[in-house]
Amino acid sequence: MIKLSHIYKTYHGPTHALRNINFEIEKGEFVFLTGPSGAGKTTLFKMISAYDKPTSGKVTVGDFSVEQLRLSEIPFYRRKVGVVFQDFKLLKNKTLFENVALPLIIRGDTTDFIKTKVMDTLELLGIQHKHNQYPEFISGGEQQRVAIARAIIHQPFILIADEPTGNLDPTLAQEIMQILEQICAQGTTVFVATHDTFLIDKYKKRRIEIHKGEILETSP
Amino acid sequence: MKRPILVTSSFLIISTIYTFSLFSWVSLQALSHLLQRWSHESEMTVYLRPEVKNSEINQLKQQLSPYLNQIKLQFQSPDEIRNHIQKIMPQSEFDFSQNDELASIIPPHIIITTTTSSLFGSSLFSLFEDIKTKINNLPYVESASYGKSWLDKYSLALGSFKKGALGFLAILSLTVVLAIGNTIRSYINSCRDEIEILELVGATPRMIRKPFLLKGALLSASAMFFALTLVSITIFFFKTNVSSFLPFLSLESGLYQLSFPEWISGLFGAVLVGLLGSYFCLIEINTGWAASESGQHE
Ligand SMILES: Nc1ncnc2c1ncn2[C@@H]1O[C@H](COP(=O)(O)OP(=O)(O)OP(=O)(O)O)[C@@H](O)[C@H]1O
Ligand SMILES: [Mg+2]
Repeated sequence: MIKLSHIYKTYHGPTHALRNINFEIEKGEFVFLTGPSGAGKTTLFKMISAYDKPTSGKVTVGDFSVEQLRLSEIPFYRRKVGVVFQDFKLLKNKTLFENVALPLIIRGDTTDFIKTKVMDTLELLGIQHKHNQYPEFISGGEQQRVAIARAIIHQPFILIADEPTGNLDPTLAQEIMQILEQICAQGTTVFVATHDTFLIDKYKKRRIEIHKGEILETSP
Repeated sequence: MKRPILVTSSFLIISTIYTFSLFSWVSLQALSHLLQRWSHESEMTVYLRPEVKNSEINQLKQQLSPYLNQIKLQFQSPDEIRNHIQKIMPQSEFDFSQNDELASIIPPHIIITTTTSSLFGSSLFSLFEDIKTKINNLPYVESASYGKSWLDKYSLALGSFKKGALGFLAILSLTVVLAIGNTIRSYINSCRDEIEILELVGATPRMIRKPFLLKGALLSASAMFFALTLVSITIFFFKTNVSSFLPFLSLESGLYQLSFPEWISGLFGAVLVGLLGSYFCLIEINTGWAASESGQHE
């Protein structure tokens, strides 16, 4: 489902953010991406979500050769990928409902479909009762659920989450992890970057560890 | 809209510029109407020698026949002049009809006036000049002249005023384009997060840019609407109040309320200017690969 081969990424400086990254993730897998700060986790996710091009190498996600996407194709690729960030990235002046509906509105779905789909997804994440609330007025854990709801509502084939629990306390972090597991169980490939060793130990998943831009080990 | 102060200030600047432009437009119209009216009252007089023969007058009429779709000829023979003076001075002790000297005081002449309303100002004068050169050296023509000087100057001044206004208008439009561009640019900057999120969920560049384009057009059009309203109200007050204080200028005769086509083309033009202004700052929005190259995404 996700395949990276010989990925190098060098920023101006030069900073070698990624060096010869090779790995493959199967459909429906749940994988952790770990490593210390500055290791290149976010950079790697940018390669997968078509935010940035690798300096060299190939990124394949599903049928897409990501690094070869034309500018006009990128939006349509992103509609097949779900992305979650540490800082949630919600629209402050829109309600939870509107935030979650965004990918469907952009895709051009009908209002009726959007309504049922959004409410179903919010229910899945246990926040349907707050659908008229604004992001500022809900807790961090709830905001991250909204972000996840938005990332999965259009049924992407992969969900990548860059430190989704970074801003949350341990209990909330575990709740979010359970939600991600649940999403994975429904067939979505889930790829989560984290340096929370507690979570890594608790949820025994396959793990890709990078250090200074290079893969240190993959387990199991 | 975010940034209310910025938007309000550029709204005020833009509507001031629009108001100013509309006022220049209206006053130019009024001045041209005035010129048209005044020059319509101007006429050309061709004095003939007292001994002119009827056949010669017919020949002169023949000469002027190519112009007859634009001008009107009015011939005054010595008899007619005598009758005319008799009429306006009935109780005079002289019997003008017998007085031959009179014919030499006011010689027979032809008065040429224009019949088409589109002919005024410099174009009327060039027609008069044409006729003048054509008939001036005929033996029985004493002189041909028209009250040219000040009207000519006036129309010349109006002409250069028009040109100057046009140039000025070009500069003002550029100012508006830049003002709208700046407003939309800072608006885009304040919407970075929103833009990023829209990109994240797969909005196309067109979807992201459209609202900014529309906002530029809306800003420009609403400023124009404000200016149009202001100018209309001013014209209304001018026509009902001010002109009655200064009736001798009869300015109001050339001053018309803005017409419906003028409103429409004003708003349409403003929309175009707004679109242009915001279009140029849309490059500020990086989409696709460029987004991360500028280092916005952590
Ligand atoms: N746009 C950029 N321009 C230049 N250097 C960059 C850019 N983005 C990342 N880097 C550098 O690349 C390296 C990897 O950064 P990256 O953000 O991928 O690390 P990370 O593993 O996500 O760290 P963290 O856990 O703190 O989020 C760092 O040294 C960083 O400074
Ligand atoms: Mg990171």
